[in-house]
Amino acid sequence: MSVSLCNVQVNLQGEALFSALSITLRGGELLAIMGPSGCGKSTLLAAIAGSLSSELTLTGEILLAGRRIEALPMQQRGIGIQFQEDLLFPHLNVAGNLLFALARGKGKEAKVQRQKAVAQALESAGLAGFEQRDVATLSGGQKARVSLLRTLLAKPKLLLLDEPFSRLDDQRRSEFRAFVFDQVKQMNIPAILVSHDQQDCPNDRYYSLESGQFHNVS
Amino acid sequence: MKLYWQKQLSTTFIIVTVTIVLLIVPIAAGLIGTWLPAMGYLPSAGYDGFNWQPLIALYSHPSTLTSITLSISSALLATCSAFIISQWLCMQLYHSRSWRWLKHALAPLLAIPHLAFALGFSFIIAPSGWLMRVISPQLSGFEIPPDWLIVNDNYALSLSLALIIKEIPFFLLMTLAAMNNFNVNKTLQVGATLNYPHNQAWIKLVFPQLYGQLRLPLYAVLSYSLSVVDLSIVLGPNAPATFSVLINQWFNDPDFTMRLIGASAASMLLVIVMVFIGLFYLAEVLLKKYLKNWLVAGADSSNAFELPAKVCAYIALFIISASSFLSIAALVVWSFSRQWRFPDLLPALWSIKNWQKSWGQLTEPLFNTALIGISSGFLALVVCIAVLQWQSQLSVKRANNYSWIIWLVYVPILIPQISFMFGIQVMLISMNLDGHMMTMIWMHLLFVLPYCYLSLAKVYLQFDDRYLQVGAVLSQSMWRSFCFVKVPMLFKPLAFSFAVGFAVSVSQYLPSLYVGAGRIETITLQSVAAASGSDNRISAVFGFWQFVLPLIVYFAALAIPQLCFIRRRGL
Amino acid sequence: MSFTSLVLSSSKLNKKYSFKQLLVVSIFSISSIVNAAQEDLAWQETLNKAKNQTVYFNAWGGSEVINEYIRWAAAQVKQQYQVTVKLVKVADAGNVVSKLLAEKSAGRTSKGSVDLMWINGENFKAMKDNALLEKAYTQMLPNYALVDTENKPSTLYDFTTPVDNLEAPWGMAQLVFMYDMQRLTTPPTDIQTLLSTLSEVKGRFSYPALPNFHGTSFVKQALIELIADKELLSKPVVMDDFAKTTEPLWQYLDKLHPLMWRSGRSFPKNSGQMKKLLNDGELFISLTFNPNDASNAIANDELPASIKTYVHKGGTLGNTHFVAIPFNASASAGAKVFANFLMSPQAQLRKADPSVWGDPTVLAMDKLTTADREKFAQLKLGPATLTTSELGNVLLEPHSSWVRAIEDEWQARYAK
Repeated sequence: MSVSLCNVQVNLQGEALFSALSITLRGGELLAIMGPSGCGKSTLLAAIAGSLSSELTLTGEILLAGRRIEALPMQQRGIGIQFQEDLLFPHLNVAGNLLFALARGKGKEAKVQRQKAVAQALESAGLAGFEQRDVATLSGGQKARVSLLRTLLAKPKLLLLDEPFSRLDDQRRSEFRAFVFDQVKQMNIPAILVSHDQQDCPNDRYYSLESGQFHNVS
Repeated sequence: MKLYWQKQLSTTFIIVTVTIVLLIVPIAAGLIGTWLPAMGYLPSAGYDGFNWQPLIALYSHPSTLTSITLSISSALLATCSAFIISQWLCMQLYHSRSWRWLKHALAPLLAIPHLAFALGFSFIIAPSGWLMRVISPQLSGFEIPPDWLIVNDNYALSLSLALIIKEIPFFLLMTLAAMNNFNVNKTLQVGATLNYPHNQAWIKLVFPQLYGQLRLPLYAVLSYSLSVVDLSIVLGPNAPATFSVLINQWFNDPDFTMRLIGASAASMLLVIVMVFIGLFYLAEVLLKKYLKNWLVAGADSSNAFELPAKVCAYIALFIISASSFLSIAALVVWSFSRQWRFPDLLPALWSIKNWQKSWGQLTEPLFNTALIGISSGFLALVVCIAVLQWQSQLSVKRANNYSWIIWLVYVPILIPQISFMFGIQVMLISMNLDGHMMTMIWMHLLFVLPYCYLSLAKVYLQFDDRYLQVGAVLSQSMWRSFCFVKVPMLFKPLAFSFAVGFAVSVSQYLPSLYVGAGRIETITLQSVAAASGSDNRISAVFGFWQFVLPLIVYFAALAIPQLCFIRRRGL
Repeated sequence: MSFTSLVLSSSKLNKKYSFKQLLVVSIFSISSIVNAAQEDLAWQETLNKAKNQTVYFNAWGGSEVINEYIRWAAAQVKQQYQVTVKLVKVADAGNVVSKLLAEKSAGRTSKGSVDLMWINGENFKAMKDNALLEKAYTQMLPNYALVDTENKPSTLYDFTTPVDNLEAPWGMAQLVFMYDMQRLTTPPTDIQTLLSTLSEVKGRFSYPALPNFHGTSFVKQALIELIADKELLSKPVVMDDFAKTTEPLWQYLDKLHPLMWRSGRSFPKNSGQMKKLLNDGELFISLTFNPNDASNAIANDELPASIKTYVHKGGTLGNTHFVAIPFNASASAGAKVFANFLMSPQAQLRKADPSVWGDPTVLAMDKLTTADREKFAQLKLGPATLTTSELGNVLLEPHSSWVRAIEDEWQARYAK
């Protein structure tokens, strides 16, 4: 599974917000884009995910698992996003939040399967037995983990991480970071992370976005 | 620590006491004053024994059963349709091009009083009405209006339709307020990344989070639809009429035994309202239970009917705004007409006589209406702020403990007015409080306060009180910080909430009638008196003012914060 | 002062008159002069008390023509007697009765909020029966002497309830029908021809749903024309025979309703709405209690000039409307002054003018001065107004107990 961006640009009234970006990522590979807040990195993610506001337009091509997706509506692109807010649904419990992301299934067997998937996911995050908990009672770190599990249970072909760590305190942050990177490897999907914090950078190779220019930093 | 608790307790105590005295005492007295005659006790008319006679008479009255059925069916149809359509409109139009337009159109739609709307609306849809005149006589061939039963139909459909059109803007306002509560946009995005199309994400993610804030408005509309009198007199059936109209008729019947029946019917109406609010709650609980699995059963990727749904939403929006606009336009044209007969699209003879004639009579009621509206709106705002400020300092857990106080605020709009107004009148007279401006403002406050609270609460509680703390540190006074930091920052929602309250005050009929004692004329009292006659032209003038007063206040509420903002930006 | 002492003192004072002369004078006029003097004194006292009082006059406010007339009258008493009259417009006289009942319930026996109210029929009976009215007062009003109590029996019996001087007659009413001659060439002449006319112009007549005053009046009119023994109506209703005696009425209405506006499934709200419907051609025939209603409405363009008036050949119901002072009025003296003014030839003349209001006078022409009589005679008949002879017989209202019985039965049949 891989993703390719070809000359991707976002335009506001005909003017490009940043230089054209072309990259290819394979499954399990994580690209970090670092830059100060307001530089347009979140806009890039919105463009890839398909949630650009109406005054912004995307040019270029996005190929995800061999399919052109830039014209598809958001829900058909198969992309997962993790925001800095956990955005857990308060009207559903932990299991409900996770089940919500799972694909539809018919019959009793499917029901059992779905429940099993939830239990497995929770266990992998060290949250075994949390199914019936009200999301409001979880700690910040727990919320972040449930939120990521939810994103991943929808089986995205690409994971976008929009400053997912910035709300957490230092210790939780490194824990959660490790958890995220580990999950990306396990799922074997490409991921793009944007952050303003150098600490979040997973490896030496990353892009920086400053004054509308991408720089490949190695 | 002890001091802190004492302070908290005393604030609670004060707020509870004030609320109870302001709201609950008159209503409780009013209910008792209605229940006594309902049980056969009305010594001033010579009935001084308790018995079941009024209730039996109510039960055996030929119109009762049909009338109750009509009230319930029209109220359910109107409430549910208005609620569903409003939610559906939000779902369809959220972040579309008309979304901004919708937000701006709300204020004038809300400013239209029910009575003025009903008068205009009946003139639009009647067989001799405006729509028919457009196609007559050329297209339709009608030289005289056809004998079709449209207005006042026996199934109360025209009444329901008018209620639906009138309540949708209210639900939209409440929904917009509820949307401040969480990040709707991001929630929808998460839904989309989890493969849910927009509508499914809305129904399964956004709506359940909104509903908590919409429950009370829904109950208020249900109660209102079950007990509405003025709208129902104009548009509802009349053989028999809806229950609330029948009650009103009985309360005004020359035969005093009918008043006892009226009182027992009013008490019955209260029971009906309570039962249906209970049923709505029960339905909510059951739906929650049975839809729990459906809610998390996974995304359905079929995306059918997206486009026609959008078109339908625009059509619905068009019908609501066009009928509201035409209702007001009809009033304006009528007020300038001298002779206007079917099938003339516009008056054959025009005149400004109606305006000249009514001008002299308008000043007093206009002044009173404005005074009452401004005072009750302002007082309501003060009480709301006091309650909300106290609420915002409570912890989540303690806030839950005190949520019943918030319910007290809503009592006046959940209980049908007609089931306690007669009792309130007796209470006020015995205390020599009737016919005073202060009493009038107080009684209006009863109904203004809940709506102010409804439209203000969420925004107020969302306010980040760190601003207040920073201000307090800088100005060295909590009060100063409150007045110069928090109030200006919340000025826009405060002003809008005031406008909502003002509009509610302007449209009050029964409280003004029962409390005013003929000493305080309001524009609505004049309007209703004029509407009981034959002259459309004069009632149009009064109806027009009934609309213009709240409209001015709404526009002021929207414009003043913006002007202030521009000035500050200039600085 | 006794009659004898007065005679004695008079004879002492007027020695030049013979005893015989004195006797004649005293027998024929002194007693009335003395009474008149006493009454004058009492009236003067009322006038003094009334000065600077504010009278809250509660009246149905649905007609701008009437409101305007009341404002004119208010301006007159302000000028002539320094009494301020404030018109409180109500949608229904029942509202006022409710308010007074509430005041009585709350024990307010003085300083009430209503000083004078426009009233008649059932509301009057209810107020009289429940002691909500001030004690008899109309005999004190100088202008009451001009009222035609002899030829207008309904000034003494308000819907068969004895008035007992508790309310002052204000205007006369007679049920008349208005029709559009452009759309209906020959109007009906009685309740049966109404039926045959409607079979030709189906759906173009209706009456307000009971218990509306005009609706009830139409049904009573029909009953009077249809009942076999009209004598029964002047006596209290006998419920045991009610079904049998009123059978022709219900048979008639069963036949009438399918031919009516909206096939009798819905009714106009009140006579006001019927006037609007007549204007638009939804109705060809409407009804009113003011014989000048059509003329007045034509004059102010509420109705077209093609509207005419007709009555049933056997006569139609007539009654009187009054003003009454509640038991706890704050400005009772002022209210009396205003009530008296409303009965004055000046006020009654203006009221009877079809271009002002057109409400027929309660006064007796032969009790007026020649000049006043002349003015009344010169009043122009409106274009749609019938002459006194055309108006025909005035039928008396059935005994008041019939109303409840008729309304109950009507609702059981047509509003269930």
